Amino acid sequence: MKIPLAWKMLAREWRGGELGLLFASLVLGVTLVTGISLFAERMQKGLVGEASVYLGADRVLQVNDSVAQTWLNHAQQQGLSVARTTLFPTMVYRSDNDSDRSVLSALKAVSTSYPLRGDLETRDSNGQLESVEHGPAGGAAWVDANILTQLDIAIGDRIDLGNSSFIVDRVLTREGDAGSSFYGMGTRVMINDGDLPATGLIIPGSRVEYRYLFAGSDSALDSYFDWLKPQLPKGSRIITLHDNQPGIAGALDKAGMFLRLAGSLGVLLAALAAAFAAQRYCERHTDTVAVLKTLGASKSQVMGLLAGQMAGLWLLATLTGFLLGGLLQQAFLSAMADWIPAALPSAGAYPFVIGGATSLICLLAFVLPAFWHLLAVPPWRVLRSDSAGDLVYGRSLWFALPGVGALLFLYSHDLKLVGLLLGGGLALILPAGLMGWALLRSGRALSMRAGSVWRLGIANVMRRRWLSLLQIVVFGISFMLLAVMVLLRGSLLNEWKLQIPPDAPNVFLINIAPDEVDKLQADLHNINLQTADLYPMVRGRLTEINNQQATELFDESVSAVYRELNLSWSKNLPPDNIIVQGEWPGNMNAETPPVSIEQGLAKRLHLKLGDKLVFTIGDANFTTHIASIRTLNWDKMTPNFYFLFPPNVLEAYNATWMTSLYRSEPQEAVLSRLLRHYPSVSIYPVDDLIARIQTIVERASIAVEVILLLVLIAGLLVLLTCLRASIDQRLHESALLRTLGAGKKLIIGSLAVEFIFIGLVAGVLAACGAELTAWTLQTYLFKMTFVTHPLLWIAVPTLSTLLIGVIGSAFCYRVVVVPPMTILRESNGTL
Amino acid sequence: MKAASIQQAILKVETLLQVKNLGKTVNTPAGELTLLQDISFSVQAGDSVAIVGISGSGKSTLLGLLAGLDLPSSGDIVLDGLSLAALDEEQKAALRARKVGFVFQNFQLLPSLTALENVMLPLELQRADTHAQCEQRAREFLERVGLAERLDHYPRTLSGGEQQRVAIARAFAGRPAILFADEPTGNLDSKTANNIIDLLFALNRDSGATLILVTHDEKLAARCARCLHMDEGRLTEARL
Repeated sequence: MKIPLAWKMLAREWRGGELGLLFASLVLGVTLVTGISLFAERMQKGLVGEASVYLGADRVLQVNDSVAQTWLNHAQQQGLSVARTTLFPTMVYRSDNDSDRSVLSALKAVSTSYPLRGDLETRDSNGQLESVEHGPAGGAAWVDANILTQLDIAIGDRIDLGNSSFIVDRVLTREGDAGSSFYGMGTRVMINDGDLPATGLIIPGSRVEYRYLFAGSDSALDSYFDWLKPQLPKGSRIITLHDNQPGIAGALDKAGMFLRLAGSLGVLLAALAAAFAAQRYCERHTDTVAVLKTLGASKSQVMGLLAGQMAGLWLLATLTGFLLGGLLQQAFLSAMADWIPAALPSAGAYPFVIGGATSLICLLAFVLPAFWHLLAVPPWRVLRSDSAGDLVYGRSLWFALPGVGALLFLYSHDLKLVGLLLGGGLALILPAGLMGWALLRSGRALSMRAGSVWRLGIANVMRRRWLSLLQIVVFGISFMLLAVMVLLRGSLLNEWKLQIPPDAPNVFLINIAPDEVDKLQADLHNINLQTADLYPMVRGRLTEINNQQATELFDESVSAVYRELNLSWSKNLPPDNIIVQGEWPGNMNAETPPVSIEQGLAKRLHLKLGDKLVFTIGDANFTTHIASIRTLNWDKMTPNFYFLFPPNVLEAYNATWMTSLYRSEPQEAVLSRLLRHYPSVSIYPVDDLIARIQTIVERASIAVEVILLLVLIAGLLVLLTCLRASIDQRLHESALLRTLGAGKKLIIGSLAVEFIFIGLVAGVLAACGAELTAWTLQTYLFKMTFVTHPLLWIAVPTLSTLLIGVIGSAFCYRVVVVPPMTILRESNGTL
Repeated sequence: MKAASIQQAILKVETLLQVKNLGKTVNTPAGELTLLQDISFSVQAGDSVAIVGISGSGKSTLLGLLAGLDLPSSGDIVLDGLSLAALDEEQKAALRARKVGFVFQNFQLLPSLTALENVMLPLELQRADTHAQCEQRAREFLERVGLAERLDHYPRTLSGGEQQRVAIARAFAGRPAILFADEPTGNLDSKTANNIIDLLFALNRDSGATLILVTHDEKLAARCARCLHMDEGRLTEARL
């Protein structure tokens, strides 16, 4: 087999050490991008999977009537697993004839495949906790501990539901998807789906919530729901994690955003390293191309040689990067084995696609423009040895920008993020350049009064002012980006920690009758339980928006107009509610009463201030206008309402009241005993939900830390690459100084001054830029509150000065230990 | 062989290089600068010609034009029966690959290739021989320039004289009809320079190639059959 000359040249150049830096920077890029993507993708999938536990599925279809079996068959054909739950309120009775004790319960009949995601936790008669991945068997019922207390029965006793009798064989202690629907429901009784018809509880006209649970790959789910949506009856609702748990979804979104941002930074840094290495490669190959041309290589032959070499290099670097990226990810997973779920889902091929694309785009964006430059090298160049070292940075920038933009988009799928990063970067270059220039000038003025080492060092910076400035801007922006990541990580983790305070309410009390409110509050106070405010709850439908039928304006995907909503009123704006538009409570004397709406829902329903809404409560209609738009904090475990009225609007309608409170473990029994006196009140514990959110936040925090560490390492490697690529000229000049008799102290001293100065200026620039960027990102992207960071102003310039000073000087140290001839020969092959 | 082609072959043999009214001007901020002016001469196949003159007289510019490395402002060059003015860059490159060898003042070896690979490169670019043949021929020429022991050395580990020997081996390995040398001894001490000159002429004699060299080394010029003198862009025949 004949090996192409390009590949032979690749092997020769490889051996000759010419490709090392470019190869290293490409491998670095691929490793980082693949490693971070693999880790982030798997971690995020793992976190989302964890969060799916709250739905018991990946997606849920909620309907008022059971659906056709053909729909479910179709889902199974698409590779989806399916389960069904049937939920409705009903009374539970003790089975022994001499007692007529009863309690209102939320009955949930589950099919055998339930739950599709996560598990149930139960307790048997010995108090032994057990996690199970199925519901009760036929004839058995699992109940909430409160049912046992209120009916005064024990495990092994029987309860009656409609016409059937069941053995209570376990207490249900944790049910992942319980939180998805609880308003207006009582305490849980769970039975097998197969036992449901015999109870005779479901008769035509019964208000029953059917939930069909689906689990499977995203693509299968998407295609199934695309097929299903047009056929759904009115009142159906498709529930995803996002609708179901805005708190968890929000935390996941932010973690995902951070991971993507960090990964994008890795991409940017890798691209920078590749740019420098490509530049160096082309500078060192200008003469080579000229020689090839004089030897009779045609333009196409030169192109073929260069392109062939690059293709080979790309393949090698990409494969090596895949291998290292995989190892990197593995290393992280095993280092973190204690904190992350044992079986993370596999990441799929995408991280490898993006890794390969990174090196390809880096080559195309940075090496290709330099190739045009090389192809245009006139052959007569070989006759003149003085035209070395042309810079082509400017030209390659125009190729690089769209390339890097494409890469970032491929990576983050987030146009806003790409725009913010690129726009921000570009917007920073000019002021950074100007500021760098001013600092350079003042440095020179200062050095005039300093010793010869300083003067020579600063003079070097000034003589290479464009290269110095370029390095200052590049290092400055790199340090800035890294500093931004550290800042963001800090505030993200802080916010998550604050999200659920330790004394956040962990129990909701619902279905409190109006005449019981004061007495219950007093009783709770007597047993030392502090409640959040009590809120009335009236169930009503939003039927008209600006004189149009709401259901005509929106299809089933906007579930808010197809189901009953909880309406409430309050004299004061509840804590953690923030008015973003309009005012609270608004004009009470207007024609129609004012209402405040939650921001997200207002967006989904395209509502604005002053819009007219008609609510239907029972058979009555009443009209209202939007007076304010609010944001809510979903994570505080306090009652939250989409629609909030001032007092004296809803009083005429039947309301029940609700509240939430924190009870410690010892108080649990006390509370249960108290609630026996309030048989209609349902207790709804959310400890489990809180624990889950905390686990997710904890794991997301670890993921964020790890990724940050990776990006910091990447930053360091980029720094090394960039410094190495720019060192040739300095080495050459230092070797010349050496031949002229300059001492070690002068040479290394002046080089150190040069690097220290560049590091300091870059550090100051980075601190300014980081504070500015952190402010922008926190305010506009993450919507967090901004605080200044005094430590940043000390840490970043110090670190940058130290790193660049030490690494730069170390690279140059060779010049004082190796004979000058050796270095001069290496730098241009001739003397 | 037909009479016409025989005649053509004889013509080729007789005149390998013909230069007609060659001129080169460049635009500078100070106005138009004339580098070469109305230069005409021809070189017979197998001839050896030295172009001498002081620095800046236009010697290297002329050499660049003769080899088709640069474009003249006026006039034409006929190399091996082909008018360079009529050839595009690709065709000129192909002509160089087939017919032209180079030796430079600063050697111009590729730093990442070993001595052997540097010599093989023009042969590989010609794509006429197999890898083994290329290697065989490169070895042969490196042996002839006395570097049989240095095949795997990189240029940075060779002395200046050794690098120039590699460059000479590279130039002759490609079987050139004409060899251009630009100050081939300019970067070498006199003893090494003498050795290099001996080598250059010995190989030139064996290969029967035409040799055109630019130099201001009187000794080197003296060994050429002809000597052309450049002065401020004009050429005069110093001796025949």
